[in-house]
Amino acid sequence: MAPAGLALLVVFVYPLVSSFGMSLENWNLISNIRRWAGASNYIAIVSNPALPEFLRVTATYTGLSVVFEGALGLGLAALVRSGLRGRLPGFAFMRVLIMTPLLVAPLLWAFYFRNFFSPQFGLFNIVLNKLGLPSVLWVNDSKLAVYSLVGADVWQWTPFMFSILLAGLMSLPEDIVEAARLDGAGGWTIFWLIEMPLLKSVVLVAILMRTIDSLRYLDLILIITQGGPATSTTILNFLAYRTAFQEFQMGRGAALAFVVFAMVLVAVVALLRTMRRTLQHA
Amino acid sequence: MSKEMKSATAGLNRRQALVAGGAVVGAAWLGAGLCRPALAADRTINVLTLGEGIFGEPFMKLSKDFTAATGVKVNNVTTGYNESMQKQAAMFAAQGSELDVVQVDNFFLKGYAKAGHLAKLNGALIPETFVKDFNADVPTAVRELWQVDGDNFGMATIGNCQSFYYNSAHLKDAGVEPPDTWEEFLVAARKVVDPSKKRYGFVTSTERLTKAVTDFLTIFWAEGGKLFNDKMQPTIDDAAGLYAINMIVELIKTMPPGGAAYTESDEVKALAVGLGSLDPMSWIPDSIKTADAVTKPQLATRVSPKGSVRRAPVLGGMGLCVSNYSPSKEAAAQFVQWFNTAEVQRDKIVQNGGQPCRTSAWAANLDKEPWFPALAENFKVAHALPQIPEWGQIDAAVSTQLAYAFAGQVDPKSALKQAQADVDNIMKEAGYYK
Repeated sequence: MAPAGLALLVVFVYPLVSSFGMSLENWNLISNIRRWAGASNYIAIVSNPALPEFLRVTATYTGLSVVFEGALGLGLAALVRSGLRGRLPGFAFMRVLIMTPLLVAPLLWAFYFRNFFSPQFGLFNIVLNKLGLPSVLWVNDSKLAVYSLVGADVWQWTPFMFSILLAGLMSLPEDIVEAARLDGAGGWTIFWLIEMPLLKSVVLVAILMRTIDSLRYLDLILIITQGGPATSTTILNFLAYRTAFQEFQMGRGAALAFVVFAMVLVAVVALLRTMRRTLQHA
Repeated sequence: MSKEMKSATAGLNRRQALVAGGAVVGAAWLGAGLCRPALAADRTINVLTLGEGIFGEPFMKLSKDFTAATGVKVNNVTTGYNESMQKQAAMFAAQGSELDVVQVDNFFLKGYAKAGHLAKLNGALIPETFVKDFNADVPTAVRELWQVDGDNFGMATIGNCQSFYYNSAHLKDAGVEPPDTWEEFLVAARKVVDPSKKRYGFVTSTERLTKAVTDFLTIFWAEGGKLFNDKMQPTIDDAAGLYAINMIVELIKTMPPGGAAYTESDEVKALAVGLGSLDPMSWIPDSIKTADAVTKPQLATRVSPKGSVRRAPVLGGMGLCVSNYSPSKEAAAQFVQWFNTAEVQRDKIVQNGGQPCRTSAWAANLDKEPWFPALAENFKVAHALPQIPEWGQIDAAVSTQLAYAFAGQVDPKSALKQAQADVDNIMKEAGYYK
């Protein structure tokens, strides 16, 4: 127990306690002046008139990314599963092809998409113009930017959902499905009313993992929009990063990081409860 | 062997393995994190600079010349700009000794020096006579950037400020002269716009992180504006501030589509391919360097436009400092001194991709690049950003409001008012006044 406990202490407990302590200070990293601030960092966060906007952007980015990744991932998994089970040619290769975005480092995708989204010089607008369509201000329009980032996120992380859901689908017992088919159930009925309930716990785990990741995600925002235009793509985690490492306000940044931590904790608890209820019913 | 004996033996082995593994990891951590290589410790220095461009190329190319001249070996540690700022801030806060020479952006100098992170250069590490000669050979604004109470805590090394690039063919085609004042600039930017020819007027980077604020400041200062009063209270919400923000909002209307959130990369490309015509706030000469064959001969430079009071390009530049936690301060100071000698500044910096800081070096190299004469003139009159530790916060607060105004989400007057209120809160929180 002792080595494991020591590892837990060093890797988890100490940084957490130390960061919390930092969040109770006003600490400017440039001047290195550290002053006790009590809860004032948290009060400043909660009383920031822009907080509802940051929360809205965070919820939009996380919610849309997870929903689209889940839906697309499930659709692709169902398609590939039926192809693999039917031993149709090309589906094994398709499975590999779908996974390829995961092979590229997230930071590289961020740089690629930054170029793709460029209003005059990006690939997307060049293709649109060649098709006779007008250019789109993908990340230069504050109303559109967050949805463009969701698109980039979905491109990058759908394969992750796909791989988990495909594994789940492939592990479902075939005899139940066979029995349903013999009873006259059609493809969609089997999938929705028989397989999906069996897959619920896998789906919830996948959603949980992507929600946690999405709440913490930085790469696309850091590289492509820097939280802009204005604050239209500033999620809370990016705000924490910017406050700590661009404004060099370590205490306020640590407090924001704890707010994000609390949000992740709430999401995890909510999803775990749902999973427990699901398993109990099953 | 009985079951109990087997499990006891297995448990012992597992525990021994865990203890041994922990000991190995701990020893490795201690070795990597706490020890610097003992080999030739005083004759090898770690130098943090940018890796490319005017702020990085000279150090990458000339470090070996320095080694040949002094015998001091150099480990060049290179990163991008943001990473460099974060790395050095974190190292200084932890009083780490990993870096001996640090390339510091000018607006951090006084904060670092007052916090005790930087070694005083004149007298102890670099002879007073050299520092005096150097200080006499740089513009006053530049000299003051690298001093605290008359002592040098850094040396300017790479000089830079905003430059004004324009496409002379576009202006000629539109029947306008290169503008000398901001009013003339706005007229020229409007006249030049012709979407049917894929030609637009003003280009700059309007994104946050230094660019948006420095776009505003060059016009604000040109109108006589002051960022703070004597009590360090912000004074941007005045006639000069309103003029500046309104001017940029009008100029953005002449930019290519998406101009309200243009990155520096968009800015450079727009001028380099002839899409944009006038860039008075450029920090790097990349648009000329990367221009296509048609556009390159069309690009020209001149001094920054003048306001009703002065020309006020924003002063930039990154200098070299010696970390106060360095175990090789003397060798580190030799590096800083070498790169700031008159000879190296005159004969090597420009020739190896950089820009000098010494006035004499500028004079000797005016013909080396087409943009140098205008840049040298700008350098003499450039204004420095405030060197206060809160500048990062202030920049973020002001640039957010500017971005709202640029995008048309908020009217300029309200944006300015909110920016001033936000800066006021920052300064109060920092203890400048109650």
